[in-house]
Amino acid sequence: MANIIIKDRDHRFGKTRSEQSKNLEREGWGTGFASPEAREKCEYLERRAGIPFPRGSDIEKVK
Amino acid sequence: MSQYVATPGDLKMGMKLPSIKPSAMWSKAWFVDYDNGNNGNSMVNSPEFPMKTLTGALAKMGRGDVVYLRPRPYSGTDPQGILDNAVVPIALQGISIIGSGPQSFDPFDMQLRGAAAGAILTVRAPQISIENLCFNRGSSTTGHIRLESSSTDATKKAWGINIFNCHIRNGNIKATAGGALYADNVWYLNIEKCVFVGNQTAIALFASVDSIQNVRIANCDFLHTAAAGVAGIDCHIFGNVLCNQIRITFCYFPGTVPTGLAGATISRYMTLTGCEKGSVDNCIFAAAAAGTFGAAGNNAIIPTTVVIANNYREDAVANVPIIRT
Repeated sequence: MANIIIKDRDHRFGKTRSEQSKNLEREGWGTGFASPEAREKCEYLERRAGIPFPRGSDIEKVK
Repeated sequence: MSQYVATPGDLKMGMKLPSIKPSAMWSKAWFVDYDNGNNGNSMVNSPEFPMKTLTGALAKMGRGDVVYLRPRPYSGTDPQGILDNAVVPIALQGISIIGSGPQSFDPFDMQLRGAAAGAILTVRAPQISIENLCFNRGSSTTGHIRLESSSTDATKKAWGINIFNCHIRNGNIKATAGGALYADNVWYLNIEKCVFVGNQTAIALFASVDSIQNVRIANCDFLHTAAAGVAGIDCHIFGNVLCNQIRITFCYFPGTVPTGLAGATISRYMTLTGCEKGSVDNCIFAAAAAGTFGAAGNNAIIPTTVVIANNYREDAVANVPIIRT
């Protein structure tokens, strides 16, 4: 069965910031974060606060 | 870089909070790659079909979308910049403009430069987040980033702006005329973990029509390396009258007191004349012993309405607390 990717589908690139960052890395664009540990902190914020796209300054405050 | 100290409201990674499934973003992702992109592309969520410039992406973006910008190759000692004079119109409320880092986490790599006269990035929409970008060599009359808001202009509502992990360099504009980062009538402005290098004026806060309210400048470095009076540094932070609730915290001013070129108007680390209800705290300065910080200070003008607490200057033998004089 052929895989069909609908590229214009809204969430194809990820439903959250951390998912988008994983896809950025997969596509060779690197990271959209300011530090190596930021993605983990971002995932934590997404899960614990329900925020799909936390800002960098809020991610920075997770210790 | 000075260190941010966590406050009681900050989350810690191990804290046990209820797990929530994040609501899916209703926004789309766009991509800018100057060397491989084409502003004629319209495929969203697809880095294989990037735009060439930020202006090209903004023309297609909608409210709340995110755009990722890819660095260009190095040429000499600097990365090449994406040449642009982009404007975020009010319809693009809540967008995020984010530099990506294939080689490093350093925002210096992802440079935006002015293509023509005018600011590199003008923001007129609310709730905009700008992250991981370097703004270099913009206009000498408008600065690099302009945040515009006004109660009398329905097209300018830049409030709730977040600028995080950015380099802002080589802005050639005097304090009374503007700054590399210029904000007019902006409320709720957060400038965090940014590095300002070689700007005549790094940040200028104006209130041409209304007021400036709730500004937080945190964990930022304000650098100039040339001898005093040579580099033309005028003032790192200029707060005009009606600038209220400003907090400058955990910032680092390692250069000598700015003395500016001929015609410089301020010649201080900062001037907060007319600012009300704020604080300058936990900052480090390389100020001379004879310099003063206060309402008539020759190192920094800080009126009595603005608290000065826990700031230090370097001395030959010890760190010396800065007191209001």
